[in-house]
Amino acid sequence: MTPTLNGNRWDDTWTKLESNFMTTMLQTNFSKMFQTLLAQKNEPGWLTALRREAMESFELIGLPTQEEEDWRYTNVQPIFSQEYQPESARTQDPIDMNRLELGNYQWHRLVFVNGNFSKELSSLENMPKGVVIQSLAQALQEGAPALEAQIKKSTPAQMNAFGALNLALFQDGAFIHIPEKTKVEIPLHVLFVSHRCGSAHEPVMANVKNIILAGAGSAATIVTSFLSLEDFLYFNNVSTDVFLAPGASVDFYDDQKESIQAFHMASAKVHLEKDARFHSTSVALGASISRNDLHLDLDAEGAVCDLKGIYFATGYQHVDNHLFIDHKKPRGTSKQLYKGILDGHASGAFSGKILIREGAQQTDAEQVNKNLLLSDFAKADTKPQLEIFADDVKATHGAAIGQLNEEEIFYLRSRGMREDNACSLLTFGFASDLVEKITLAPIRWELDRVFWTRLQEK
Amino acid sequence: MPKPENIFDQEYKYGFVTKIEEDQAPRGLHEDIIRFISAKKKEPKFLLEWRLKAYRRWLQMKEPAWQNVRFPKINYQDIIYYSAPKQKKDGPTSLNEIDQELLRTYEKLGIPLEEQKRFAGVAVDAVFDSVSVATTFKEKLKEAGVIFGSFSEAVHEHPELIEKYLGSVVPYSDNFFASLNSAVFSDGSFCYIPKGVRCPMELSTYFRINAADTGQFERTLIIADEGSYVSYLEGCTAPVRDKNQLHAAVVELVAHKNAQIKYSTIQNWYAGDAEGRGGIYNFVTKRGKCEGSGSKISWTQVETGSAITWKYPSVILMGDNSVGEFYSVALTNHMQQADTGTKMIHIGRNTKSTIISKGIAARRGSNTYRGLVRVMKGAANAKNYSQCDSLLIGERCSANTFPYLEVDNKTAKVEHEATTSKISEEQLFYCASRGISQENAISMIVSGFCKQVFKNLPMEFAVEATKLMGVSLEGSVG
Repeated sequence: MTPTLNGNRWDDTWTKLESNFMTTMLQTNFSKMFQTLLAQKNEPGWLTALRREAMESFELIGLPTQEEEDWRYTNVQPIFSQEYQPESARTQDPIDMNRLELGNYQWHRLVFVNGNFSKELSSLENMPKGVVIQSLAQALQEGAPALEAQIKKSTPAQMNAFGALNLALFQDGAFIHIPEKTKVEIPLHVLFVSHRCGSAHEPVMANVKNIILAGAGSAATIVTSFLSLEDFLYFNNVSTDVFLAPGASVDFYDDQKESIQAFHMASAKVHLEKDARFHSTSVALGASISRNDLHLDLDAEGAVCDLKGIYFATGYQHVDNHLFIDHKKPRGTSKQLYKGILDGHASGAFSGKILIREGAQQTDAEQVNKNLLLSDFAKADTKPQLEIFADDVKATHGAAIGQLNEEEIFYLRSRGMREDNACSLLTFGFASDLVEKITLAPIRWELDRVFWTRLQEK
Repeated sequence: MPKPENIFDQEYKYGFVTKIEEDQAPRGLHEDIIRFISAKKKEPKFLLEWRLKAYRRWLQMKEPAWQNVRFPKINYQDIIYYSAPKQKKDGPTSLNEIDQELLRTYEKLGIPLEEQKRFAGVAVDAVFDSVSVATTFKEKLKEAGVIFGSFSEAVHEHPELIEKYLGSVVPYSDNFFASLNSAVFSDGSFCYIPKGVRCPMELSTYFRINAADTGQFERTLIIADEGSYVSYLEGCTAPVRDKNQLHAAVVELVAHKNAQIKYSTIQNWYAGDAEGRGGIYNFVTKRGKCEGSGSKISWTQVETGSAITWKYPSVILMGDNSVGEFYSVALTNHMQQADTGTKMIHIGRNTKSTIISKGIAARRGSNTYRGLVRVMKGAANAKNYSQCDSLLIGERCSANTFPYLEVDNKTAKVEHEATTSKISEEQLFYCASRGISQENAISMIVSGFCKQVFKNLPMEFAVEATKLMGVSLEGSVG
């Protein structure tokens, strides 16, 4: 057992010292970035004030440590063991579209390279009438009242360090606005490509802010992809705000295939009005440390959300999914199914809290997290949580951590299959009950392909 | 129509105060108080040193704040740390020397101390405020080699065992309340089962708080040597008072090779009134260590009392093939709060643990399950199954489930399930259509909900537990 002092870890004094030192160093780095950004940008006063507030808030709270319950399983220190330069410092090399391996789907496409909007790579023709999908920075410059109103709702004091940093430093991102009763048939694809430019010394930190507004009765499928052209170190700090007006319906896909050396911190806040519907699928395959915060705010009756997630980590990857479902009003439905495969020295964390507030009667909430450990060095931590303040509700959760079933392996071997193949097949089977439920076929195919390749490489 | 939560409404029968002269320490806490307690008990030097070490550590500690229960700040200087009924001479040697008032108290509580009146199968150690007043069937147990009696007595008679085992499971520096307890603990039960002995009867301790403004800080230590077996029961009550009283106990269990300890608790401290005035703060550290291979520790608890229950009876599964179990029913009615659960730490190979937790929250009660299952790197083939169900009765209650599953070994199999539900209209309608009154229907549903836990209790306790819960027990006698 680890010796304890005051209920904290025995090596606490040292880590605190170290972390204080780091925080000071970082704050210089980030405040420099902040000053540069303010000098470069000619933004309206309210935004500058908001950014300033966020920066102050970040400096006040500092970096999260594992002493904090929300960060118990994720150590963010490695992310901050080097300095970063802002995305704008990068000169852009032209990118060959073929390297993105997008396939032949004719999706609407908005592309960012190292956090900067790339007009050449984007393809936004034949957009249904009234639908806006554009660079957030551009929208802010042109003045979009709905967007401004949404950003003004931000409350830096309630954000964690990454959220505050994002608000203070964000450069660009996607702004999507679907007008009332509009149904967008073709998926809207937002790509964030990271690309190493020859001369750079310091890694880049991109603060990406996406804002999605879905009008009453509208429907759309939105895909965000994070990928890199080379294996290198960079840091994407992403914030996504989704607002669903009454009866709106959004299918959201988060496809994270960052470089294996990169850091990916993403946080999404989804607000659902009456009878709104939000389906999300999160795929986490890349990044050395990744964290997905997903906060669902079921703020009116009859809101429905269905959240699926799959993570597959190998090597020394760490992946953390952190969900919070806030049932505020009656008759809401929420479903979570998260599955993880952990190999090598990888570690996976899952934390999902379902809060059913007083008065949110007839809520139906369900949560399942399953983890498969494939190696002796892999690790899984899971923390499903229920907090219920209403009596007429249905709430269940389940969590499991285990390995492949020996009898099943034996069965396949008795049919002449090699052991490694049997294991691959069973692992694939573990994932496929979730993968099969993915409605957007290209995402499903791509996942199948990635899984097979990874399992074959084993 | 009566409300479903009414089945939990019973008068607290144990709320009376025994009028007896007590010998008390002055209010407050400092090193002299600790020396006072130690001197009262004529303790050997090592124990006083240990207490002082704990106290000095406690002074550096911060009160935890992560719990899901709310209470006003406790003023530790406003508590009387030692209070014992005045005795004519040192230590009663036979029942005749015990104050008649005390005997009557226990009779009233349903725990007669005269052996002939007792259930033949249960030995009782009766703890009154800070001291043990009597232990029954001591002679009979001695024949079997079992040592059972008050902690203070054991300090004198078996100091070597105390020195060896005290703090070996819950160190004096473990947590805020355990350190406080280590500094000021007054009495409790001590039990040692020698090698290969199956304890001939159930052992039990009955804790009674009587004096006002006191805190009860007892310490229980049970050691089951190789191949032995013991079933231990614990019950507790306190008078009705408007002021909260603190009860911060420590229980340590050690199970050697192939030994088994079954520990059952019926916790019925005064719960406070309907408005949440008064009641006991039950902040207890309970932990067992399955030290030897093939050992087993099983916790069963029925928590119906206390204004606040905050405890996690845990098992450290060190020995290979050792087994840990935790069965719990926690009822929070009116303004009661509970944050309880367990920790199963798998260290040895092929270790197994089971957690069954049933929480019932009625009216404005708040019920939290918090549990940790940790599988360490070397714990190959560890298995855990957890099930945590909550039953909500009334619109203003709350139920929370906070499990932590931390697995560091791929051969482990860890499963957790939890549900939250209420007594549905359909269930009641179904029973009504079969001619079962609503009251009986609710009683049946609650009884079914708790069944998995109650069946693990020894018979006498099962009967008491069902009475407390206002339910009838299937297949029970009487």
